[in-house]
Amino acid sequence: MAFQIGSALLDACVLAVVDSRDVYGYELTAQMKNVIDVSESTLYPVLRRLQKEEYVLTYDSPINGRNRRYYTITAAGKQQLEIYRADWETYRRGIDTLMKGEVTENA
Amino acid sequence: MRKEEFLKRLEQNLVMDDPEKEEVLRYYAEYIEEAGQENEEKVIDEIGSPEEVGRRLSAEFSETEVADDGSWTVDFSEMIREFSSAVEQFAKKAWESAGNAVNAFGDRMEEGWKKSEPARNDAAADWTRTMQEVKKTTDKVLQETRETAKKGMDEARKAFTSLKDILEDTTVPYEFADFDLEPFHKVKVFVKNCPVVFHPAVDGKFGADVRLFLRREDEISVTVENDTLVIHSTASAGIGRLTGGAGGFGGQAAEIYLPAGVYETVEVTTTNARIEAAGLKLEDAEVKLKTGNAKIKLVNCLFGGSLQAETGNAAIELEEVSAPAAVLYTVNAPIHVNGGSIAALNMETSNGALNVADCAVASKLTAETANGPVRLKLTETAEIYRVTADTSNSAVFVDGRRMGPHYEAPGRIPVRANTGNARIELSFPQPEADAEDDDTQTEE
Repeated sequence: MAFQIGSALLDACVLAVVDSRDVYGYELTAQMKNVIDVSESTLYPVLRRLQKEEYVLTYDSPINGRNRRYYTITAAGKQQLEIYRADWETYRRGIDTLMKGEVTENA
Repeated sequence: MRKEEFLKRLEQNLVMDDPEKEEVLRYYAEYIEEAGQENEEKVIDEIGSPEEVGRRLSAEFSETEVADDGSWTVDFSEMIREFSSAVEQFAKKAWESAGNAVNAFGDRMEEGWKKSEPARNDAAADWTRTMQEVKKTTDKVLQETRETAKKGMDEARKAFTSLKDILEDTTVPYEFADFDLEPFHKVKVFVKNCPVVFHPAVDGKFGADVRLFLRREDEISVTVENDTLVIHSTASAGIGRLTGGAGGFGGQAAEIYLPAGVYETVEVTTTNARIEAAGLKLEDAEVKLKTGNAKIKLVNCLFGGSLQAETGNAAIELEEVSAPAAVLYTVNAPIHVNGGSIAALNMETSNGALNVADCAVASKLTAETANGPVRLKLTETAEIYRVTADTSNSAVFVDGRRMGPHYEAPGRIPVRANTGNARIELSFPQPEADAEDDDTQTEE
C-alpha cells in the first residue's frame, strides 16, 4: 500500500482492538494484519508504548502449561481512544473531501 | 531457523535495559509459540531477521542512536556521572575513615607519649647524671693532662735553659762543675742513634761536650742521680759534636770526657750507633758497652774492671786495651783484638772471623765462631798454652802446619778455639836460642 500509517494512528487502532476485547500479542497481530500491512515488530513497540502510558495493562493467563499475556484497556486508554476517534473523524472527513473532489473555493 | 536460535540472535542485537530486553524476548517467544510448532519456521520467516528486528526495537526502546547502517553509539555520560558520583562518595568515605584512623593514631600517640613521660624523665635524669660523670672525668683528665703538660714544659724549659748554656760555647770542653752537677762515681749513657765517644780529661779537667740537634719530639737529659751521671737522649742523631771535617749527622757524636780513676761503672747503650773510646783510663771501672748494629772500637784504653762489649751486626775492635777480663760478643761480624793485655779474653760471634794478635792473655782465651776463621797470634811460646782447637770442615794450623780438624796441646793457660767451616790458625813467637829443646817438642 502506498500510504504509510503513522504511530498515532497505529496507537489508535490497537487501542480500538483492545477496547473491543482483551487480546494477546499473536491474536492482535493477526487481526491487524487482516486489515493493514503491519508486522509484529511494528506492533510490539506500540503495545509497549501504550503500556508505558498506562493506556493498556497486561495480565497473564495459563494455557497448555504456559502463560499467555493478555492486553486490556484502562480508563485512561478509553479516554484517549475517544480523542483518537474524534481526531480520526475530522481527519478522515478532510481527506475524503479532498479525495472526492468536493472542495469549494469558499471552503 | 528455530525459535531458540532466533531468540538468541535477537538478544544479541538488543541494545536496551535488561528488563526491557526480557519483555521483548518474552513477547517474541510467546508470539512464536502461539503460531504453533508446525508454523514455527514460517512465522519466524515472517518476523524477519532477528538482527533487523533487534535494531528496530533498540531504536525504539533505548536512548541509543542507531545509524542507518545498523551501527550505534552509546551515550555513557549518564553512566559516567553515576560512576563519578559513586567514586566521589567512596573517596569521601575513604577520606573520612582515613582521617578517623589518623586522628585515632594521633590520639594513641599522644596517649603513649603521656604514658612514657616518667620513663622519659628517668632517662633524661640518667643521661644528665651520665653526662655529669663524663664531664667530671673529662675535667679530671684534662686537669691532670694540663698539670703533666705544665710539668713537662717546666722540665723542658729547665733542660733547655741548661742546654742553652751548654750550646753557647762548644769549642771548649766543659767541666761537669759548670753544669752544677753533684759528684758521681758511675756513668750511664743511653742514646738512641747517636754515636758515643769517650775521651780522657784534658789537663785535669773533665766533662761532656754535648751539642744538640734535637727534633721537636726528641728529649735529652744530663743529670746526676744516685751517684750516677746519666746522659739520656732519645734523639736520633741528637747528642753530638761535629768532629773535624766529618760533617753531617754521621759525624755527630756524644763526646764524653772522663778523668781517670774515678768511676765504678761506665755503661753505654745505644740503639744503632757506634761506641768509641780512645786513651781512656778507668782504673776502677767496670765497663759495659752495648749497641745494636754498629761498631764498638776501643783504642789505648785501660780498664780496672771487666769489659763487656756487645753489638749485633758490626765488628768489635780493641787496640792496645788492657783489662782483667773482656767478654766480646757480636753476631754476624768479626772481632779483632790487637795488642794490649787481657787476662781472660772471651770472644764469640756466629758468622765472622776472630782475630787475636799480640794480646797478652794471662789466664784464659776462648774464641768461638760458627762460620769464620779463627786466628790467634799469641804472645808466649807454645808450651805455655793448653790448646783445644776444633773445626768441622777444615783444619787446624799451628805455625803454618796443618794438624787436622782437631788439635790439642798441653799447657798452663787454657786456649779454646772452635769454628764450623773455616780454618783455625795458631801461631806463637819463635823460642829464644836457649829454649830450643822445648821448642822442638812444641812444634811437633
